[in-house]
Amino acid sequence: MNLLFEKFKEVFYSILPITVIVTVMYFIPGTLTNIQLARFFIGAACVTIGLSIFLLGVDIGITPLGSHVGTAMSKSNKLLFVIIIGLILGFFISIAEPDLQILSQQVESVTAGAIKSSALLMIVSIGVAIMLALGFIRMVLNFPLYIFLTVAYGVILILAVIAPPEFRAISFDSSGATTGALAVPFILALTVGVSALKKDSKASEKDSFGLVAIVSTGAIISVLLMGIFKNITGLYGSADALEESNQIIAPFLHQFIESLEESFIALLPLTVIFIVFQLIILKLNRRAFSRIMKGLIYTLIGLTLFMTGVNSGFMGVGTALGEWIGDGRQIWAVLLGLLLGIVTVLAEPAVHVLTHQIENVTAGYVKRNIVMLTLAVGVGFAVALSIVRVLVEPLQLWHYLLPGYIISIALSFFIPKLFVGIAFDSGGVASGPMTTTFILAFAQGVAKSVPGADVLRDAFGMIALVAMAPIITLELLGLLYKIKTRKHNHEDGA
Amino acid sequence: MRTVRKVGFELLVCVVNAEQGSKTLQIAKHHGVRGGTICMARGTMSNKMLEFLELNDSRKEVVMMVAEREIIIDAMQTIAHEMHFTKAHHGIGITIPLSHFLGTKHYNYDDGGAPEMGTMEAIFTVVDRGLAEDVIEAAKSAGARGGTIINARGSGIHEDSVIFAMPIEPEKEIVLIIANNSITKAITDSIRAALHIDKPNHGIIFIAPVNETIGLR
Repeated sequence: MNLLFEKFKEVFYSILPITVIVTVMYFIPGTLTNIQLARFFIGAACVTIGLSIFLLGVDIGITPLGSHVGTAMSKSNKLLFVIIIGLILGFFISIAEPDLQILSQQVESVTAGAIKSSALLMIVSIGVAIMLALGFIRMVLNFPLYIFLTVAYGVILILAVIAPPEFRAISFDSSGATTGALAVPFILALTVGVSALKKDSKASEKDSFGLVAIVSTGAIISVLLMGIFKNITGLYGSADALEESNQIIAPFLHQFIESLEESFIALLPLTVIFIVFQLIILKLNRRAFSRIMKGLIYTLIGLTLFMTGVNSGFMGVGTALGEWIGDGRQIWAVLLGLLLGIVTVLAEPAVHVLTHQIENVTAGYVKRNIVMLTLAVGVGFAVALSIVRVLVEPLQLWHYLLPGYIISIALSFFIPKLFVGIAFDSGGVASGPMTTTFILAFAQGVAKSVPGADVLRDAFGMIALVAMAPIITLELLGLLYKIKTRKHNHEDGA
Repeated sequence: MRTVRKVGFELLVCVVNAEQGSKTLQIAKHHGVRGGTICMARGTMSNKMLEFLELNDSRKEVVMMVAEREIIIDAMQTIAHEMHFTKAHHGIGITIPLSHFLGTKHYNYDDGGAPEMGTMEAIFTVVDRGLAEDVIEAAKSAGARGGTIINARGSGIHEDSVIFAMPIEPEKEIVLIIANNSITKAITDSIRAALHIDKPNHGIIFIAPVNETIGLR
């Protein structure tokens, strides 16, 4: 069984549930048109093939690249060098992230140009760069992750109280957007590279996670600060209407070019960083160098196909299902949201990368499938709660976020520290391209059909919830692992 | 506590496809093997085309189990049958005879019939994650030159927790130490004392004879 076939099998079973659900929905009259279903199937095929190739590319390209860079950094043994590299890496990874570019354009349009998209992009990237560097310092100095996160979220809480309400949702959304399909695997690999050199294997294992979470807080803090200083109140305009085409193939071709361009730009900084490192520090042999280069090419092809499939095949179906179910079937909308949330996250690229990483680092102690399932349940609840928020007008985003984050921070003091990193990283990982297109389209569809619901207000903030809920469910899983392991230790004594 | 003849033990090593390691161990446990250790690994195939496309890797798991010879042979046959080892790319199994097996209350160190002095032995110590450094320290204090740490997971007969119907195998570390058999006893005694190997679930040690070594000083 070669690597590609292995990936294909894994991805196939991950895309299957959502395909089944959409197909079943098609047979309910009035939900989907034939054209939408046809496009969905082509999209699902693109997503399956694209994701398989992408994950292969991550395995042989991005992951080795990240861990080489991470190892080179910690071998240098110079804190200043680590900080500078952290700042450079963080800035360029973030600024090239397609999700973040889309979000900042949306923000520019809804604030009627008061916040320039380039300004937002810049601010978020600086925030990410600073937090990445701080994250490295934390690892080098062995500062506990849970305390670091407690402080970071404490700062966020204070800033969120001062900042204009509209900025709260945007800031949490931008954190989801920065930790996209490319940034997550690279950051995870960097972490492993840095932590692998620690002599104490338990500490090195704990430190293999958590950097994605730290980077996310960078985006939140920087956007909140921007909101405080810009002092903007109120959002105007409306979210972009999704253009609905009646053709089947044409949208894919159009989208393909666009996705290729986006993926290329997103990969560019990583490639440049790799070549610079290779020339100055790494000096890998030709075989290892060409292997990583081939991996980057696979990543480009895979990501392009994946994004094409999601944008042309899935988004329209999401909107259509949302509009249909929001129209008088509101209880069902919550249930469908739960179901879609569970199955969609399985198709999220970074989720596959993270779960493999967890399995590798723990040598299989924490199994992929268990983490996947826990994550999926978390996202399911997040989507269901978001739909409830669309339906129940007085409910505000912070009614969820405040207690949610208080619970997750509180739990982080009690669970095995390995799970703190895993849980907070999962938050960033769950809010990837699949959620931000398909699920967001679904929620907007529901909002359009529900009288009195504000498409714009409800659209922002959904990603924030998707990023929060898995933290809690994975922390609960950590608690479960702790209880199970403690019981067995007790038996030992007997 | 009974003492078993040293010829009685074998190490079974199975190389199986990714995510099949736990299943392999479960089968073995049903056939009398008391526990095992699993490492994640990579295997390669030789195929020029796949090599060019960098597709010649595949993820594997290595399962290591120790038991009496009869049990091991029985377990290996069953695993080979249930996992279809006879078909291509389904897995392989090998056994290696051991000279000693320590760390479970059923078996103990047997001094009788030690092989002639001056040959080398491979000492495998399996302990909970995080303790490998202690093992190497203990071994060094008894004259060992160093050791190699391998990340693994594994479970003994007492460790069969389940989450969502999936067995969880706690994280382990395997320490491989090569030493002259004139000091193996001292090394294992030192490790046993430092890590309380003789208490249940504090790890195991098994020792295999080594024919040739190179690179050791």
